[in-house]
Amino acid sequence: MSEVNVERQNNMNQAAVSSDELLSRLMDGELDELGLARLFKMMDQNPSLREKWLRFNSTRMHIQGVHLSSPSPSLSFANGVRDSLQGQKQRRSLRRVMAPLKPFAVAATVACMGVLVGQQLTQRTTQPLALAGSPVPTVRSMPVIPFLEQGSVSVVPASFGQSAVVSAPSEVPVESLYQELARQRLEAYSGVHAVRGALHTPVTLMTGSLARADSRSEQP
Amino acid sequence: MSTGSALDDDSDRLLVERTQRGDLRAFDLLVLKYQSRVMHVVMRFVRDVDEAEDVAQEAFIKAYSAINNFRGDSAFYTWLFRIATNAAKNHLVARGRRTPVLDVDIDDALMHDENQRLVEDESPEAALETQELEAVIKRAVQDLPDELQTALCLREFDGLSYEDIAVIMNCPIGTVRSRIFRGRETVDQKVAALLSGEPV
Repeated sequence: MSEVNVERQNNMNQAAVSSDELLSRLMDGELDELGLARLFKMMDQNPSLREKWLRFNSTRMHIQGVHLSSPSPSLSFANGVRDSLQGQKQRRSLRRVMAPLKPFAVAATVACMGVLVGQQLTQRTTQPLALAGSPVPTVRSMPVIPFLEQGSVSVVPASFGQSAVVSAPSEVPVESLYQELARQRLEAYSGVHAVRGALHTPVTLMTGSLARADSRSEQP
Repeated sequence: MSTGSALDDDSDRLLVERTQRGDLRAFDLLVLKYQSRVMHVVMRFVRDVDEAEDVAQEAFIKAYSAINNFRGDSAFYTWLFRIATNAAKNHLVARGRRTPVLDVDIDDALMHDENQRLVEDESPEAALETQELEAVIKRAVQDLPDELQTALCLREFDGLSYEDIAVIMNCPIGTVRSRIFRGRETVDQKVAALLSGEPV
C-alpha cells in the first residue's frame, strides 16, 4: 500500500474512531458544544452513527438491568418522528414566507370581487323612461350619455326631464366612439317612439290631444 | 436502578439545550435514546403495538413542540414520561375507551421485582431475544481487560464522573475517557454482531 493510501487510511480511521469516541463522551455528558457540533457533522456524513447511538443506549439499559416489554428499538420509529417534525418545520417556513403576502392576497381578492360584481351590474342596463305627454325627441335634443368607466353606475338626466338610473355601457375603443353615440341615440329614439306608438289610441289620434300636448311643451 | 439517572441527566442537558435552539438532530438522538422507554409506558395503556407506536411517536412530537417549556426543574425523562402518559390517556379517551383507574407512576411503569430487576411482560420470543442480548452483554463486559471493565462499570453501574473515576483508578481523566470508550466499543462490537446475525 502506498504512503498516500496509508495516510488516507489513517485519516479515515482517525475520523472513524473520533466519531465513536464523541458518541461515547456524549453518553456520559462529557461533550461540549463544539464536540456536539462536530459529532452532528459526522453523523450527517455517516448515518450509521445513529444506529450506534441506539445500541450504546440499549446496552446501557441492559447493563443497568432495565428490561422493557416493548419492541426492540429501531431506527424506523425515530425516522418517523424525524420525518414528521421536518415536514412540520417546512410547512411553518412556508407559512412564514407567505404571511406578509396575505394582506395583498386579501386586497386582490376583494378587488376581483368588485370587478366581477361591477361586470354583473353593467350587464343589467335599464332603458330611460318615456312618459306620455313628453315632446318627441330629436337627435339634437338628445343628451350625449358620457362614457363612463366600466362597472360604474350614475344618475343621468333622461330625455324628458326625468331622471333615471342607468348603467353605463361597456367601454368602447376610440375608433367606435361615434358608432356608440349613434347607437345610444337610436336606442333612445326608438324607445320613445315605441312608447308613443303604444300610447296612440283612436281617441288621441282623432282629437289630436297628444300632438297639442307635445307642441305646448316644446314652446320656450 | 430507575430511569432518569444522573448518567442520563448529563447527556440529556446538552441535547435538550440544542433542541431548544431548533436543532432537530439533537432531538433525534433523544428519540433514539428514549423510544423504548416511552413505548413501554404507552403500552401500559395501549396494548396494540402499532397503535402504541403511533401514540409514542405523537408523544415525541408533542414533546418537541413544547420543548421550550422544559425548564430543567426535573429530569428530561420525567417530563417526557408525563407527556407520554397524557398522550396515551388522551388516545384512550378519543377511542372511547376507559383509562386505567390507577395512574401509572414513573417508577411503577417499569415493573420491578424485589431484586431490582424488571419483570418482563412480553412475548416468549421477545423474552428470549432479550435474554440472549443480556447474556452477550454480560459476557462481553466480563471478558474486558480489567482496567476497561473497572472504568466502564464504575461509570455505568455507579454513575461516577470521569473525575471521580480518575481519582479511584489513579490515572488522568483522558485515560479514563479512553478506557470507557474502548470498553463500550468492545461490547458494542459483540452486540452489533448478535443483532446482525453474525456469530458472537
